[in-house]
Amino acid sequence: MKMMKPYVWLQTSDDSIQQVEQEIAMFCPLICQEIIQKGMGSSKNCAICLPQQVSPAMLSLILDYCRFHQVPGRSNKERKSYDEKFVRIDTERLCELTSAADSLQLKPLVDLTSRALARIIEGKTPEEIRDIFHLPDDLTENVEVEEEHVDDRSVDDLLSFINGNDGGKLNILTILIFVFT
Amino acid sequence: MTSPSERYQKLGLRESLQKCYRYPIACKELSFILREAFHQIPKSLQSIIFEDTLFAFRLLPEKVKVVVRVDASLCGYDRSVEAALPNRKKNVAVTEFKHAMVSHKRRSKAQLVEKASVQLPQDILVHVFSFLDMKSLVSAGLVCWSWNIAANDNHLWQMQYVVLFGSGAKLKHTKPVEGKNYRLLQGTVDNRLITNWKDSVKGAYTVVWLNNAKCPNVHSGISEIQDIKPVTAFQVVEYLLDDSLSITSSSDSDSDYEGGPVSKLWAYGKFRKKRRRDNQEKRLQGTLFTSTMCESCHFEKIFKAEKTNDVWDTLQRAYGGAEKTRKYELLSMLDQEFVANYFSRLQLLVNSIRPWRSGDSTKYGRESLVDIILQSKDTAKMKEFQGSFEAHELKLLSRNSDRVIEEQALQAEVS
Repeated sequence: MKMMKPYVWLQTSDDSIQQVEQEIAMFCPLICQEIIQKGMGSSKNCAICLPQQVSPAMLSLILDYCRFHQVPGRSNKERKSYDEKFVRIDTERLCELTSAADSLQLKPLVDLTSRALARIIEGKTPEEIRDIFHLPDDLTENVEVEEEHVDDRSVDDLLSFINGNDGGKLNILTILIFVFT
Repeated sequence: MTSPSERYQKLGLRESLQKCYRYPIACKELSFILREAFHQIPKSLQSIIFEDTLFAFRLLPEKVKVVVRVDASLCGYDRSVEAALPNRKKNVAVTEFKHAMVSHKRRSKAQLVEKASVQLPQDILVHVFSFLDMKSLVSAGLVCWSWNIAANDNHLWQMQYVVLFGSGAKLKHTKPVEGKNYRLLQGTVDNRLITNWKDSVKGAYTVVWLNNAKCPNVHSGISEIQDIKPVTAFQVVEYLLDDSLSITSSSDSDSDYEGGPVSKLWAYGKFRKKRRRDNQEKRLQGTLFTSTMCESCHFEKIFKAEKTNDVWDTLQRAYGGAEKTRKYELLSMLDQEFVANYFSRLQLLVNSIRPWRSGDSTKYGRESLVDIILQSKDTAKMKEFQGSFEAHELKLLSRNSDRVIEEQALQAEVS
């Protein structure tokens, strides 16, 4: 029976196609749906298209996770310590992993990574969080933008202003050139 | 008539270039000027414009935030530079431009990579935030726009509310309404009707802080004490900003107290009283902190402080050595408050007192009900006092007398 282990074909965001054990891939509700409802993934030609968020690296991480938890007879303690080690990756990858897991509707992993992210955020100041997540401070920037007044001087106003009175000589042709460049 | 160079100065292009959001517009204008007017303007102005052009190129790598718009406007810019400038200058400009473009592309690429990986969808953010405590949640809300929206999710705040005040149908929510005279009109709101949970949590901030944002009995704790009247944000802010609020009355009693003979009651249990009052101050500082948080002014400054003690230091620094005595005012009875309410409020404060590092010596403040209560060496006696106070209140209500008389009467009775 072991030789007959069914495989499923998955296509990740970079268009590469991988072959994965079906029982592991079935852990992800999204893949499971595709297989059962649409009969996809049975061959390389009708591989299951995974969502944009799932890069090959993330897919292999997710499959590792599924592979571990799919094995029966593991104690809770074992699972817990595996989970703990599993999310010990840098923040950027953790974010990627969270959105990839979310797009595959893999709820336990989403919970796990979200908890890990929350632990990172907890007790930090906004600046520290911004540093860790490389986020722009667009809250204060927005205030700046609000003050921005729209510049409604037309182009030929500007030119005639520079050139003094003879700017008025500019003909329509010049303006047209502007428009088309 | 002004000269062209003066008019050019008036355009303020150089200043505009330095501002991130003005940069694309300024670039566009500059490129038009280069192409259309460069040959007609005097040499001196030409060199100024050329300088500005180079300046614009040098700034380019920094303006990655407006990538799209800059790219669009620069396409024309590049060409107009080449068309307008004399050869020698053109070479300089072109090399500068190439350098700028290279580093600009590199930076915008780096930023794009960053952005793509870190942007989390809103629903995931909300999910992540659901694991946070209140302080971190507020903090996360200040990070950036998308996080702010996620952190204001109503459901999150409902959860916070439930954690702090317990759940269940019996939960009643008191909603302070700020009237014209900053008076508290208390209305009880059925929690099924509450839609904005963040406001609900905010509305109860005093209680939140008194327990140091951690309710000891998560599900039953505070909500059992019914009529707690929070101090409004108005009152606290008024305190902080308006120095004159209670100085006149407190300074009188201050000098009275320090200069004059110490009465029996005052002398009794002095140390303990001081300690307690110190602690109460700390609590009140907590109140200040939380309400300021709600007001969100000075939030950043205060937020960094871990302990209430630090908060106080920060606040004191911020407001230039605020009068310590003013704080007591917070504990004094509100005009419309009944003794029972006041006592439950006080008791909450007193009960939550823990040993606290009392660093600075406190100037004895205003004689108020607090003082009288705190001098009693035993909080158990408070019940007694409460009884007599309540009796007094009844009398006073009918007599409609003012506070000074009330205090004197109470003091007389206590001694």
